[in-house]
Amino acid sequence: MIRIVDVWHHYGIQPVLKDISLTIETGHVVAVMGPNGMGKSTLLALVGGILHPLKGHIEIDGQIRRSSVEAEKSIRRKLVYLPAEPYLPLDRTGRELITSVGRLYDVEDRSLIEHAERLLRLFNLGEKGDAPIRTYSTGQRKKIAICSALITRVPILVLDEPFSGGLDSAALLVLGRILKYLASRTDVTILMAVPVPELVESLADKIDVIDKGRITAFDSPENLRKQTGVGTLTEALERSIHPEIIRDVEEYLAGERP
Amino acid sequence: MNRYRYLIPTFIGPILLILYIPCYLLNGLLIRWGEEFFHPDYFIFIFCAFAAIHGAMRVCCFHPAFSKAYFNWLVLTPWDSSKPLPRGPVHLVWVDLVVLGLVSLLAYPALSYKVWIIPSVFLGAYLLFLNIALVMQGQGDGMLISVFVAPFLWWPYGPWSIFPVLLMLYGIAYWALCKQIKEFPWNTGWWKDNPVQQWKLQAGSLQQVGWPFYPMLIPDSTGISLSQSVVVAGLITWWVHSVSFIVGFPFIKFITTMFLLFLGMLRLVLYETGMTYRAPISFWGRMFTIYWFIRGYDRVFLASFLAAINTILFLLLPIWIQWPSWILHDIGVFSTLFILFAMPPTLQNWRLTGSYRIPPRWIRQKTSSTTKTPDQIFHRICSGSSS
Repeated sequence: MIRIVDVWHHYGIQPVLKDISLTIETGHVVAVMGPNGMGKSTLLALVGGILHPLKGHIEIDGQIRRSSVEAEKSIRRKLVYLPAEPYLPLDRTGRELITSVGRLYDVEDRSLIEHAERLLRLFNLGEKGDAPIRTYSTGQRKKIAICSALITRVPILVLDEPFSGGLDSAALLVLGRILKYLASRTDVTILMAVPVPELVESLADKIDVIDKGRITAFDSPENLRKQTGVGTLTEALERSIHPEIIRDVEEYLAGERP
Repeated sequence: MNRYRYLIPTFIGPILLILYIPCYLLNGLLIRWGEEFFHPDYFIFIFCAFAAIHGAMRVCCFHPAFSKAYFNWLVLTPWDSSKPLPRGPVHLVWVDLVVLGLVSLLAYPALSYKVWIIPSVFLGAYLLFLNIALVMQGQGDGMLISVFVAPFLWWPYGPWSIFPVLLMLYGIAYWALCKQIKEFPWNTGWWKDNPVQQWKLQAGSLQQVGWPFYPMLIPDSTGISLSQSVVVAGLITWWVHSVSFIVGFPFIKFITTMFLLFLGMLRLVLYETGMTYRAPISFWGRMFTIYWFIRGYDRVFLASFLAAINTILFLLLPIWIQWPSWILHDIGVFSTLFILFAMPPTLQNWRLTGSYRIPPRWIRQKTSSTTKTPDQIFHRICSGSSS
């Protein structure tokens, strides 16, 4: 279980997150949505442990992040955080990267090598897997980064925009299927930032909407639809995240018409 | 006797003879003709080089800690510590005395009474490498005692104390060596393969995982205990005190002040404060939002800050306190070092509980061909590529 308790965070003067409190049950998939620059990535980075809140705290399975050496060690072993733009060591091969990450998470060697092979094949990186990452295209880099998170087999995945970054349609399909499988498991918790409502509708147990550093909605896709009284999740989110957008588009199109 | 024949320097011995004998004879002739080819003192360098190399080889070629193959072979044989080492002894035996005696005899015409330098240099090099071997295999006690005794080589009795002190150091090292040999086979951890190569591989694998995995790694270092801090700080202070008798007190005062301030900075660098592990909020953010003190983050600066204050305080104390300045200086050095070694947080504690943020490192995804990331540079150094 992930608990975010009264979290405030600043980078500079303006607070990026304001008094955020959230509980994500074990086995749930939660998608964080909201306009750009409103604190989605910051929230994920706080849970991922690369940021530390100025106020409040993050709890993972009852242990508070960075509260003690033992608690933090235990959290780091069971959580993987994949930022939207990770740094990939360009001189290493994709296979080297993912096996190294697997070793960091104490994955047994034989299973690690076999899993790496299957992941590379799945993401269509079979041949490219043994070439230096510097030769990869943008989409291939994103794929290998996703592989590095999946190879850890940890129970908590924190993924910042896993569907963005130049993934081709096959990779989108593969990732969607894998996340759906993980979502069906009761021991895997996923927290991810996804900008496209269609992608999360069938995956997420709950959607967390963040706007201007505050949570404006946190509910299941079904309930969000009911609350807004519209047919699809896209429309429901249009109303909750971007209420002004439909009006703006209408105004723009009115100006375009002869 | 068969094993002892390996102790004879069959390689560097002839080199010494080839270098020394023609030069000595030629010098003799030139002096006779009223000219001087070599000042006789220059022969000291030849003999010192021989003594140092022989001293080092005397340990490196015979101690199993320096040879992986020898170590592994010994493990597989029925050898135990009650039997002599098959390649020859590491401790000094009568053959060494004969070799040094012969070389000293050979050098006597050129060096006269200064011939005592040869066994001293030999013993110095031998003890240095023996202590390295001892520390590599966890016999740190002997090394610590040796570090304490070593300043007596030049202080307080000058060069005359060198030989007896070296013998004392040999006694300590011999005691530690016996202990070490009894504990064979040692824990064959990191050193079993080439330690330099091991270090490169390990560092390489850390750099292999990128951001954010790399800065999130759990460091092994759990710091040093209070008693270890006292011992290390005490030994360094003792050395500073002893060296001051050679280089003069005002100079040592200046050097130690600089050294201690540098150590304070070095501690911050080792903790990667402000680089990989930055304050959770920007400087101006802190100023304007009145987060002037962030306990979880600023605690990392405390040891270096207190060490700097302490150093400066003890520099100024002689103005107000009429104690001998060397006493105040030594107390100042000891207390500053103790602060730097013992004060929390330890590296592991800081990495796991510090209130820092880990920004995308200075390593950038998009690097031009001319701008190389530290990772790339590191990889090139490791692989020996110059491109």
